[in-house]
Amino acid sequence: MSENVIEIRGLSKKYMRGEIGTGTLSHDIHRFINKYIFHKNEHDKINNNKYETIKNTESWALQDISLDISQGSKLGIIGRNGAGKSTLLKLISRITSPTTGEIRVRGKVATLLEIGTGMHPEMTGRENIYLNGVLLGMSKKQVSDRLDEIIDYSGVEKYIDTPVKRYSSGMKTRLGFAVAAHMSSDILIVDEVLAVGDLEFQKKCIGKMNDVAREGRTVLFVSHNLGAVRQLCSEAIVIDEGKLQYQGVVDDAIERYMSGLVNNTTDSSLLNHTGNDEKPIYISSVSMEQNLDRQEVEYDSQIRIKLGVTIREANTDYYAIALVHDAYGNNIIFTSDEDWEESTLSITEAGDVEYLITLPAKLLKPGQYYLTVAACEKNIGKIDRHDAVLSFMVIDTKTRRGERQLYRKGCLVAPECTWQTIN
Amino acid sequence: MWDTVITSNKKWFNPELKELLQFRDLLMIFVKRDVITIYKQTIFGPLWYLAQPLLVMLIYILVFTNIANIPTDEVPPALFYLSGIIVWNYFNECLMQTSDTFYENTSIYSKVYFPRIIIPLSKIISSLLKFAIQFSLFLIIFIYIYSSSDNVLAPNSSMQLLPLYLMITAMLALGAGLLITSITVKYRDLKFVFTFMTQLFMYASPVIYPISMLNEQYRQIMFFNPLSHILEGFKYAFLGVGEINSAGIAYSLFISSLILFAGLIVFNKRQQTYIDYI
Repeated sequence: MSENVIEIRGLSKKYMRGEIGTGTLSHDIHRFINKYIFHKNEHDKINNNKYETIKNTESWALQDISLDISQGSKLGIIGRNGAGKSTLLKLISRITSPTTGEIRVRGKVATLLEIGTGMHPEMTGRENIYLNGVLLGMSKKQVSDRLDEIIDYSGVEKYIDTPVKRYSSGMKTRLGFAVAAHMSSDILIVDEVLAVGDLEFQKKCIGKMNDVAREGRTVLFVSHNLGAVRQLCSEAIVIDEGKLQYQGVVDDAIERYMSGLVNNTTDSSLLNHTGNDEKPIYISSVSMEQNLDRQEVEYDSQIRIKLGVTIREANTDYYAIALVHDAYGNNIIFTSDEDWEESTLSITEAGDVEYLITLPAKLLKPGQYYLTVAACEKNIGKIDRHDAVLSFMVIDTKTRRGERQLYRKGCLVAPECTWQTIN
Repeated sequence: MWDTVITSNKKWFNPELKELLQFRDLLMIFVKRDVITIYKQTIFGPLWYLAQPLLVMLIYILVFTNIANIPTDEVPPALFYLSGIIVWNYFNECLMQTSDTFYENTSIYSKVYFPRIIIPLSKIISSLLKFAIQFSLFLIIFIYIYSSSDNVLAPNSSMQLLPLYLMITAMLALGAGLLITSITVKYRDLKFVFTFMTQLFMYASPVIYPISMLNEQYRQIMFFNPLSHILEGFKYAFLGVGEINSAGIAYSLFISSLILFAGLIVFNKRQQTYIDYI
């Protein structure tokens, strides 16, 4: 076991919602007077209420996180939006301070929360390489030493002495990434930067981070792209509601995270209906048609899902979608009710529509799957969406393939194929 | 051993000089960025820094000398006003540039760590360049008048103190700027108050009038203003007029250090969490 480069102990971060956000002097003076001059009045009912609301505005973005990260590890950080992932990165990279707790760091940390931080449009590409590089923690000399490499890598040699304001956004991104790719830190923190670029850029990013990791440097990586996390990281942690839920091997962490997204039931009565009153169309129920004990489906049988949709205001642009994805975030099947004919939803008056969605047998290989459903309107997109609203397990106890464990890891689907001798 | 320990421990004063030294490259690059933006964005570039004091000087001559008949200590009004204007400009520039540090740099501060003080420091240094441009204008007019007329000007060896004067001005402006940015980042409405106060402060400093024309009572009050000693000191060094003594300079230095110290403490405290509620 190599030594720890980051040790986090009892780390918490509290945000004060509403209270500081108002930011006006009169508000604070008011509060101050209430607190220190009229504090005798605390039995007063109104004041009690006031105190209550102030207390309620506290929210803990992170609570009591303790974590060891060893040298050279590639740690993925996954969790829902607002779970506290970015807060954790911001604390480790010293952008903001913790409320309690401690982070101990060995070596130099470089944070990549954004491509091309601090770039100035009036400065040339070359000047911006220096600015951006030094901002990311390199010395001027280090940038000079790598200047040729960086320019080469960026692919904007021709325009390197042109002000960046004349660059296309793609060129800017490439330039920024070229600098980031040549950083010399011991610990690299990357947050969701992959989201900006196209597919090729993302590939390049992951490739580069893999190189960095291979050099024995430590990488912390936050992304919603679970595929990317799995590709890059060997370990991962799951954060939910500011707490560390799980730490371990990346596959287990992702599975853990995905299962956390699901109501542990095929009964859709627990569907979250908040806000439906304002939606012109919403999903009213989702369930497996078969009444299954353990949500298990045989490989050689069809998967049948019942989907209820409620229309409150009729509209010819409605349609519904269903998406099956696996525990690693791979999308396996996408289907819509307008795939083969006009959507029923588009010709229905206000009321309920119930669908039976049938997915083919002998397609999904054994494993855990999740279903995301949404009611949509053309041009607007998803109006009511439920991520991973139910899960099911495909098992194979009947075919020869299942018996002999002939499913190949790494293949996404396992449709039935035939082999015939023809000679 | 650990290189960095991040805690909620908020020391009152925590000058990490070693760290600051590590980031000196960044400081110089920020200065360079400021300088580049001075001449790249405009058609006339640095010429604006010459035009502004010249125009202000002409207006002052017109209004205060020709219309209001305010004396200028027996020296040509052009030089009298210009010396006041360029010193005030340096102070004002430093103050304006640093008093918006948090707002102006949120996009950088929220993405990457470096000692936050680097940015206001870079502003102090890049403002020095603007001062240099305006000072050379002053020197040209100064040399022209000095060589063409006898005994009006009495430049003397106290010119050596110019770096000290600039340092005190910078300390005062930086300290005040750090205080203002730390306060206004939380209470935005106070920004207008400070802008207004800065304008008033110019009239409370001997920029457009000599201290010698004030009566004893006002004069005593005037000397509480640390900047008045600097302005008088500058005029004395080049023009030979003005009321200056070492006690006054020492007083200015003391007050400026005090304000700078206070500014650093408040700024240091504010920088740790301001990003949470910006």
